[in-house]
Amino acid sequence: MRRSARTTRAVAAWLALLALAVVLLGASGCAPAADAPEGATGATPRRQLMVFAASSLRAVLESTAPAFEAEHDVDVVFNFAASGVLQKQIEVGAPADVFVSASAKQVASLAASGLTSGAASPVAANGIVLARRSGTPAPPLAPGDLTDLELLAVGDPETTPHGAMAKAYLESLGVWDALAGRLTLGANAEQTLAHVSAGEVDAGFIFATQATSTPGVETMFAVPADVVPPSVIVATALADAEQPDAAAAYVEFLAAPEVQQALTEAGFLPAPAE
Amino acid sequence: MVNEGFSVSVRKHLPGFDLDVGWRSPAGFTVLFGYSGAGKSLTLGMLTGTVRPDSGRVTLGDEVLADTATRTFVAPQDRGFGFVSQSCELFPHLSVRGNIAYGLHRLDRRRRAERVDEMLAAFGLEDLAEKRSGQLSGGQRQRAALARALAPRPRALLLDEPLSALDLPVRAEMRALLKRVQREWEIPVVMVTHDLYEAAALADSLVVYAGDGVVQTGAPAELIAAPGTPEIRRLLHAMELPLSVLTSAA
Amino acid sequence: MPAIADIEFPIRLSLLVAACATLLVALVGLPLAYLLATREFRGKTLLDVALTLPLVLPPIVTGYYLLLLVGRNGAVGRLADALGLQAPEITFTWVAAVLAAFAVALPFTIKTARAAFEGVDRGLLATSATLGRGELATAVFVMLPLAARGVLAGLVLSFARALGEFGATIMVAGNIPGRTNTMPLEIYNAVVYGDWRHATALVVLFTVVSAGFMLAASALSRRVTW
Repeated sequence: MRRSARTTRAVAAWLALLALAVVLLGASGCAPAADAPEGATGATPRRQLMVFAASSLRAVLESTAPAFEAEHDVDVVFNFAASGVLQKQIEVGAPADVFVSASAKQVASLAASGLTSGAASPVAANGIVLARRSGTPAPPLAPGDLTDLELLAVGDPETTPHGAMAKAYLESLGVWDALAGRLTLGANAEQTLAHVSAGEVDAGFIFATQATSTPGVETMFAVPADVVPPSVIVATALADAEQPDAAAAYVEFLAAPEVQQALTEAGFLPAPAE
Repeated sequence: MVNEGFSVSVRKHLPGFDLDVGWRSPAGFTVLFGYSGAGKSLTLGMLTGTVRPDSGRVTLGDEVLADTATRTFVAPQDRGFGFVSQSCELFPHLSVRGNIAYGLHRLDRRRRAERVDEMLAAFGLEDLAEKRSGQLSGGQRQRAALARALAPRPRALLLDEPLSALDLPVRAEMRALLKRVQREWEIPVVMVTHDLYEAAALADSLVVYAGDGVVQTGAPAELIAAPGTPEIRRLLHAMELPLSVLTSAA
Repeated sequence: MPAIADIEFPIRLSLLVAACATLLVALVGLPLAYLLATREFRGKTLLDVALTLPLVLPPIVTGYYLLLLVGRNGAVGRLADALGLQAPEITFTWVAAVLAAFAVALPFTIKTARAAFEGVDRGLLATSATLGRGELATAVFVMLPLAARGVLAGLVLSFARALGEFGATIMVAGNIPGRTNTMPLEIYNAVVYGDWRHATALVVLFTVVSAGFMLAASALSRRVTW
């Protein structure tokens, strides 16, 4: 064999060997662990419930998980990301038991593909508020002051829920066209929040929960729920769940008083009545 | 072993250059001489094995090194020939000692160390053993390259204009060294040069590349006395040295 | 909001993931860079483009393709099914984080190492052959040492990229606290909650630790004196 073909073949064999090693490493299950091992109670590891949840719910869900774990003897393992990312992951077969989405759209899409199990359950709602950087000397803003602002931050109405809600509100006031050219459009909720808290804009429309959790911003007023319906947090168990019972139990658990209390403290609204 | 010589009959096409040449030389010191760009280095490449002929045959005595008719080709690392190039190319990341030891990977550690010491002594490099290429003079580098090429006891020595970058006095020393090496080691040596004095001084057998594939082989004295073509006469008489000076250089 | 005690794991995980990814980049990328630098073959340009893709694509897209490759329903899973083996759980584990970091960091080393290999004097390689060394020995004892500066620079770039990897990681490994939440994901989490002070503190901490590794690499590079 020509030496160059021999070398190329050797490299190909080497790469195949490496790929196999990586796969075996993945299959072996050995992994770096955080210091508090899960299932520390007994010799056999507890069952794991895999919950995919929107990033905005992290604080609430992590703080309320221990109560669920104790009552149902499972370890709850979370995966926090943007709802759109989570939806994609579930569609390609990610090992999720429960999906808690920041808006109904993703859950509806999965349900249409037959990937959910049972009915989707509204958990809470997130309205938008007008907020600005804390410590701004100007007097507080009211809806009538909007047209006086030089620069207003909103989400992109085409692609973001908080942007669509802001546009609907401004249209309801009849000021959407007047503000054209004075809006900065964010690609996601974090961007809009960043503009507001940095003081780059006079004010912006962000989610109520962001205003609650961010030290550097203060709320001016909330957008009424009857004018613009808030974004609904929806939870559902998944069809391929490995722990279907625990999954259904967790979805129910989200309606429990202690979880609802934590959600309210974080700035969420109650789920809309059916 | 002593009576073996190289024989080539090869064709190679490169962008802008076509090589079509054949010669046979007896053992001893063979010099490929001619203008730059005539194909001498390319032919030497066929001997080292770093160049493959498009068609033809290369042999050393009875041993076939390359033969396109039978699809035979011996890779350079399997030929066992020493090679010193124009730019000598010591490995810059190794010391002189490391360079000399490079071709001795088949020896065990003790014998390798012995052989390296032997070569350092034979070529006057003991004081320079730990130095790197950048710290040596041109002549020292060439001696180190020669020591490196000869350390593995090669069956032949191939040299591509090894002295052209050296100062004249150093060149004279190196010429004497090369001649001595060939005599003592009794291996065929093929050297490329475009310096007529060097060619005449060193060659037992001269191969003149006159361009367009024309090649004349013979002892220097014969060729100088009776060049085969006007072109070859021009090459050999270019320095206008009397024959006696040239032949006495040997 | 993550407490200080919770930061230790993400830092440790990030360093482990980046180190493993860089090791994998070296083991895979250097031979590939060598082939690209020394050979012409059919499909060479195609391979080059494919290997450069992670530089061009948004990382989250790269992550999606990885998910399709190593996910349960992906190529690896289906191959395992065909062989009657149980598909290994790679996604949503730290190994997936390593793969994500590997995929985005690979092009840096391949491009840089290839240029370094191409810059090595071919005469030296030929000389090595005449001294009886085959291609592998020449690659290891001549090519690699002489290209060491460039190779090291490429690996440092890859390590930096691997350390900061976010989009592909969140897609194929998820953001699972205690399991796959690397530092970039933690920093993003602080951003989601609007806590820029916290995010900045994490960034500073992260930078200090990473800088240590960069300095070590730099010191190593200075020992290459040829």
